[in-house]
Amino acid sequence: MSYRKFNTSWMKTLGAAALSATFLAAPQARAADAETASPVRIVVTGITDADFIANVFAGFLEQNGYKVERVKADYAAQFVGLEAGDMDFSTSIWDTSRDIMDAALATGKVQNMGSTGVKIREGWWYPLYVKELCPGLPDWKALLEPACVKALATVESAPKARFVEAPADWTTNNAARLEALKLPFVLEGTGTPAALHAAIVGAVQRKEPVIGWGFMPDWMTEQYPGEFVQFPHFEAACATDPKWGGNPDKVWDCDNPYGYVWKVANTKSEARLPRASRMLRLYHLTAADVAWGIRRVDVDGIESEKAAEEWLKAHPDLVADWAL
Amino acid sequence: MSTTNRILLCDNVWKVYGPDADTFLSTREQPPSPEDLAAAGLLAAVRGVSLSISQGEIFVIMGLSGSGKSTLLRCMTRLVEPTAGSILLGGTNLLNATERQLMQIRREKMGMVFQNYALMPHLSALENVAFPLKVQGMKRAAREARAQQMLDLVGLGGRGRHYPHELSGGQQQRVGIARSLTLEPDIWFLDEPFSALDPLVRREMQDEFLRLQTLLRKTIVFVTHDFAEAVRLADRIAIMREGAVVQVATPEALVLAPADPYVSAFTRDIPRAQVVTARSAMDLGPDAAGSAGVAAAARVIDIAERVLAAEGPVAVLAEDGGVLGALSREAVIRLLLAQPHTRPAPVQ
Amino acid sequence: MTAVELRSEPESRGDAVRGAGAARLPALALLAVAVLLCLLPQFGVEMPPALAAIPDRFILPWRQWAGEALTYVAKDSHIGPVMVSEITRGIAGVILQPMLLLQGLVSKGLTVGGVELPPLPWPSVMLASALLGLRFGSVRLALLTGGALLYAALFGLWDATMLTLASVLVSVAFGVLLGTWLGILAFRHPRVDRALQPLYDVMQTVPIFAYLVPILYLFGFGPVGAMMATVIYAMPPMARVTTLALRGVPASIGEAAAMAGCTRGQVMRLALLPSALPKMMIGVNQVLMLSLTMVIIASVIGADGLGAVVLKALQSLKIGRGLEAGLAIVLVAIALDRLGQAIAERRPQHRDAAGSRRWALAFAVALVLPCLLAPMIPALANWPADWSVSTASWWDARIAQMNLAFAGPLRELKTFAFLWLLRPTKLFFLAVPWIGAVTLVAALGLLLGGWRLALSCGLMMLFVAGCGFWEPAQLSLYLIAISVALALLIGMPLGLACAASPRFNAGMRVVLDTIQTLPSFVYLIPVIMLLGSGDFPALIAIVVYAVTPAVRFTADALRHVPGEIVEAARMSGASRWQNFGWVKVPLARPGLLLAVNQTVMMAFGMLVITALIGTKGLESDTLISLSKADPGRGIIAGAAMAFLAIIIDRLLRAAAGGQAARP
Repeated sequence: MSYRKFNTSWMKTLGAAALSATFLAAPQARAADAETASPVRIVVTGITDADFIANVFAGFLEQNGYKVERVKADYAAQFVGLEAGDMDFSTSIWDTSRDIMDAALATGKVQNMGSTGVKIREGWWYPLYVKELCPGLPDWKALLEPACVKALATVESAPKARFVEAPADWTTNNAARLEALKLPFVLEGTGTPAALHAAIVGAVQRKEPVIGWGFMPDWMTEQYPGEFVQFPHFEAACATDPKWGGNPDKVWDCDNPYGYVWKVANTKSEARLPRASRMLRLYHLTAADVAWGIRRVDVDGIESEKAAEEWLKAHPDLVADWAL
Repeated sequence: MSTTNRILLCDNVWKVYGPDADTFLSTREQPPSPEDLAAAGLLAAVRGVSLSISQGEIFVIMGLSGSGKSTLLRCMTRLVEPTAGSILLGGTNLLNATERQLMQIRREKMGMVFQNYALMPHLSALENVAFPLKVQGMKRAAREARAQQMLDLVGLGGRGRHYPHELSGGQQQRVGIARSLTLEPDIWFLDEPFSALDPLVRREMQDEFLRLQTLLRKTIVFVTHDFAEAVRLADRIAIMREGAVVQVATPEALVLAPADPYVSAFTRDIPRAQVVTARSAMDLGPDAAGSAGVAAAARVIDIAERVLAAEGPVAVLAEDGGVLGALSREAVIRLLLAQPHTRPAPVQ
Repeated sequence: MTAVELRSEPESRGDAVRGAGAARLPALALLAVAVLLCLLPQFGVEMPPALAAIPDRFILPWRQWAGEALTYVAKDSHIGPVMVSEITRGIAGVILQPMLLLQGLVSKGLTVGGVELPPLPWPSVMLASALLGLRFGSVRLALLTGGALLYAALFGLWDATMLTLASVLVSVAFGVLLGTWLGILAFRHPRVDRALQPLYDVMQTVPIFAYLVPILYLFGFGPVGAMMATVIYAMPPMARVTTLALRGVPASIGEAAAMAGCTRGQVMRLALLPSALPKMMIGVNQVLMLSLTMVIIASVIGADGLGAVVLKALQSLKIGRGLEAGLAIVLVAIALDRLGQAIAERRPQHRDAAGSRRWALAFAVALVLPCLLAPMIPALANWPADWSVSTASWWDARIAQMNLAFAGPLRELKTFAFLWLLRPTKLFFLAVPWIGAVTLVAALGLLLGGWRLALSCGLMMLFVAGCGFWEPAQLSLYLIAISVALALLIGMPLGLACAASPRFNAGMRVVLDTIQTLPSFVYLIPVIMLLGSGDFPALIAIVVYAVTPAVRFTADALRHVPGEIVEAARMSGASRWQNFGWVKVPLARPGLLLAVNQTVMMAFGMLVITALIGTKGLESDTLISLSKADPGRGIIAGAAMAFLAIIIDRLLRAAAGGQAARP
């Protein structure tokens, strides 16, 4: 896993020169008009999957003669930048953080540019061996069995079981779900994806029983064999109407909706970057593409930009669709 | 001393600390006593001081710590803002001067030496001395040439590149003295300049100071808590106590006629021969032998050897050369032997 | 001297301890009532619900007000026709320039007049740093400054290190300038000083997340936002030290300057500031170290560099890589710290003038020669990839081993700590009724300082109780209480040993510097892997961080006991322990209380990290507010945290008799 890298600035200079030389002759280069004069600012958050999605699009824009600035931002804080016009595009907004996305869209300064096509699956995740302790999984009712609860309990959570909860700023609806489904679980907080991964993976490495918030695409759910618990399927009424579902008094007696990764843009950016904005709307990947990128970056240890470059090279047919 | 050439005049100067000190003072008809002030929650550092200082004179302000002497000096330079009174320097009232005028006056007329040298630690000796010139925007070469002259004057010519921490206390104060003289001030303020020095160095610096004064003839206001030093250097001494001036007189007059027990307590340890002049010790009458007389203003200690070596009484001469009287060996011996703590035998 | 003493007197008289005698009895009575109120729930006595927790209907909508106010300031406020945000953005643009210049110089390359220049080759930077060490220190320092950069190059962290170095240096420069300016202002106007003190406490205790949104709005994205966050946290010591240093300059220096005919500005610029400079360097060093502790937080909000490498590595649990990058931060911090100290301790020598030209020449050669050679020898331009090494996989294997081997015994320890320490304390704090807490704080204020202190502390506590975050506040307090107790328990004996043995002290210093600057995530993530997240790793994080001031200030307090008094005690026949217990500790009491105080403040400062590993107190509210687009929640939770910190600070300082000076 040794990191051996060249001085990136040197590489960039060389790379940019090579790229511009190649594409000056290419037909796309004709579009290198006023629009490409100013840089396109795309959010990168340091989260592997999000950065891969962003870098593929960034690399694609660069192939089309754009100058791209990858602006490093905190996931939540990026919306401030998008509203204020410090950033043009963000390619990786998860349904999980619906609140902040909706708030940003409500200001009228940020607009939805459609889904990336990347489906996300998130929910209660466990490594396969937990099935032995909680027979009946992945059906959620297996979690109500005292033996299962006991196996998943820790000193802090006892007599209830422990659930490794996502960072407090993610919308998991778990607190409501515990009540609605009367699950004997305690939510153990984690403040960051790093802590979430550490808490689950640490136990997985020791082959200890553990259950927590998992999501796809993500390196953890990629790397370790596991499954998601199946709760009653989500329907819109479940989130709003207590009467819906098994518990007539509570909402969220169901799973989270399966969502998508969304693309958003600053509203003014479309006027400045009409062509790039159109490409953004057309830009789509699949969960499998992103999973591939995550493996390259988190498992093989190459840089996200490099992985994106490789992917672009390997899929010229897909890429051509975005430039229509 | 003559009043015609007085250069610095303090008139009823007050410095009172505390809330609304100035209104408290101005609404009083009688000057308040320390008790009045304390009752009002105020603290007086200087109480109604009036002084006049003449051209070319060494005027020493003597007092114990807390007597207000340094505050008085700082009122004269307006480093401390007096609460009431007036301070006339060559006819202009310092207290009416604007900040800018004051700055100009300090640049042209005043020099000051501090107890703890107050050298800038980040500047070399030469740069410290050149500092007042730099402030006025003088070019580096010119100001350093001038500073070098000043360092030569105080005998530190070779140490210009040294930094304060590389110099001894005495050397540092020489730099301080050179700096205070760089702008050729009319009045030279010295605030306990030698108090922080070892006794031997102090003595040496006092000699140096007197040597400079014979060269430069400045008007000097010198603050000290050391009565022996005051006696040694002063033309006149003002004794301060609790912010007020108790007595202003020549060293001789102080010793011979202290105004109150407080002053006489200081004078007790002073050998009489050190302060008594030939004029006071001489016998009246033209009974002098020999041709070479002694000056009337000379102190007995300085001329004792000559008088003792002479055949008979030595003539005491006025400044114009006229004979005023004669100084006998007996009178000199009596003064030399006089126990400092007893009053000297009345001079015949 | 007389004048100086007299002049300073009216100002210094104000803060003296009051009420020690007169108000003692009622204060003690009030204290008894307060303790009773706090303890009642422990004995199963049911409080009326309105006294246990302030009923919702009495809670003012602070959150909403704060949110609206913030949104207004950030988005809509005007000065005349100009938007405030436009002004601040202009300022940000100005600040950005030196940052871009420095980053371009050492990492990204510069474009001057259309010509693209590559960044300085690594040998230039490395040699120049080693020369700096040699110039101001010794060969050892040169090895440290050069070696730190060699480490960065060797481990493939050159670019990240250069980015971090550039942004830290610009942040420090900005923090020092701002701090100096504020320090001067406070020195000249005691009233400004009094107004700024609580503001500094707020700046150092409120987690950045609470005000991140307005900062980003006002100063835009990118390095400036992160820099602002860094400066807000790291600047206060500079301002405080500047004021203290200026007060420490002998009054006669200023008078000498005034007598030399200086204007007011010249007195400050030419005399006071240069004279205060050596002491002010302590402040510079503090800013430096605090800026480096902010590297991780800065990267959370978008700064590039070593912090981003650490964070990214830890996100996929590449702990070895995180550790390598974390150690690079430590090395850079220690190198900069020692270099700064060497510069601060250096006094001008009269021989210097002759040598400085030769040094300048040496620097020029070190900088320029590699630049000239680099186009011909690529290995000089870029550190060759096959020269790099990595120990990451080794570390990862060790961590995995440890995870298997130690999880069991460690869990025993955790179980013990949880059952006997964490849970009882937590339950105790959660049961404290608000009326008890407010009364307790007021009673202590009355006892230690007087009615004024009692009133201000009581009101602040009332705000905490009534702002709608009472339970999170108790959760934060519980964590602080345990970790401060542990930090003192560990730190004070170590400080004692440091004061006694210079050799121990030298070793301890490296340890303390390391744990102060090593991003805590590097060791917290393994801890979480072993023990799960939540309060226990949070406790470790705070204790590790807060032990530093406990050790340092304890050692400091004991070292400054006058030697003569200790000798006098020894001559009176006091044994070693008598001397310690009866002489040293009482004499060092103000200093020891300061140690407690600083430990508490550091613990509050660390809460921002614990939010990132899943604690549920006020700190977590500031973090959540960010992603729920609810700025009011963050700012009020942050204010509550600051108030708690200020209450404890003021009470402890009053207990120290107002003598304890701020560092």
